[in-house]
Amino acid sequence: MRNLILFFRKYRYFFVFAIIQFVLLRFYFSNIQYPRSVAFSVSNSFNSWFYEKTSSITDYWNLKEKNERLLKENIALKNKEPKNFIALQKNIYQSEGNLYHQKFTYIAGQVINDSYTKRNNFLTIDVGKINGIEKNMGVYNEQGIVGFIVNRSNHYALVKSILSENFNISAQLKSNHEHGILKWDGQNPKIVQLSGVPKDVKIEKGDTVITKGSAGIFPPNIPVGTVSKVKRKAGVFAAFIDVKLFADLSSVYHVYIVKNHFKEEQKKLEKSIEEDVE
Amino acid sequence: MWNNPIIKHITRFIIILLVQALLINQLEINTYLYPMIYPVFILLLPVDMNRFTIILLAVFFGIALDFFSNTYGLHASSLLVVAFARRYVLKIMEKRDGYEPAAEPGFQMGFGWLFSYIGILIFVHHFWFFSLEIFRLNMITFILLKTLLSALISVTLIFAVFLLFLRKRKA
Repeated sequence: MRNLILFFRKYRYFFVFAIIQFVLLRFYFSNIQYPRSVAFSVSNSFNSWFYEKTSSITDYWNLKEKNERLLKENIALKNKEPKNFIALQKNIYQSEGNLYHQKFTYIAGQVINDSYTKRNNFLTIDVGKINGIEKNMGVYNEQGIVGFIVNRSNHYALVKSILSENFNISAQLKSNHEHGILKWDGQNPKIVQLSGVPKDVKIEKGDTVITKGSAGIFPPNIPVGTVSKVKRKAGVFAAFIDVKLFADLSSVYHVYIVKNHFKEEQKKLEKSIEEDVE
Repeated sequence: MWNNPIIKHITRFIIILLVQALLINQLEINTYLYPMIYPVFILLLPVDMNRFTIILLAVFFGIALDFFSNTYGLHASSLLVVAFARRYVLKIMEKRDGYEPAAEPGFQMGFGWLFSYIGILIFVHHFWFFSLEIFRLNMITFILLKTLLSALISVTLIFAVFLLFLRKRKA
């Protein structure tokens, strides 16, 4: 017993180090993929307040570029207005009430803090619970998809960027609707990987990749990027596909957050299948 | 006022924290270059300071930095490693007549000594940091390359700051 106490006394420096290190690493690994703790992150109110003050100054720096991007998007939307089209068939009657039911609505937000060179990147936006933000809402901007909400406080929300190790949002090729899952290897912030697409389907360089919308986080057909490299390896079922992102994650200013009104319904239904199988 | 060690270290704590969180972390050069100068806070503490105090200071500083950067303890863990390793690096690099009491690492110990002291510990810190951040064995070459390039730019930045501020006060 005495020897044991002597042993601990002798190496107490190392034991103190090891115990604190263990606690820190546990906390790190339990939070980094899916942050649970709001208190320990940028979405806590002090830091957000601080970053909002900073961004209220830096906001003006890129005003011209921001306006040009929004203008471009406005023009694209304006061209789709019904009054610009003529009817080819006159005898179709429709009543909006029972033909269409709104599934998605959008909330606008502004990015107040972002990163894009870490292994797992997050963005902070200036809308939160009181604006109707919930977890797992999709976030995209006028160029393409950006990420999804992982946590929110009353006035701010934390967005897991597409530049994360396990982003795991399903996307499909526009040409043949083959789908896979988006991941990032942590090397180039302009390129992400699409995994799970079988290698025997036709994949061309330059093919457009769009969201699939199967999980209800994003609506279908939100642009993601274009295929920049395809590699097929013998013995591996899936092709290795590099996707060049449309969205420039180093300059995301305005974002749209997707609210899916049918998501609970979809989740409930899908859960009932799992219960049946068990 | 600067002769009071507590005020001096508190001031350094705040300045280094703000410079790292609000200036250097916002640079975002690319995925290979991620400079970090904040271990300097631990490196510059007096040689004969209590080792447990240093560990506590390191954890406290690291958590403060984690607050700013969504890293959930990654900075604290890396800085703790620096605080732990510092004692042994100092022991190995001790000259024949030992350190003066309450000496702080600086230019008076010689440029070569200071360079290798900072270089070794920054390399250890960066390697630990990027290994944990990426955490993939098959990406070891990327981790090593990132560590090497980032450590290089970090040490350069640290010496630029040293030459600007620390030397002037000594003269």
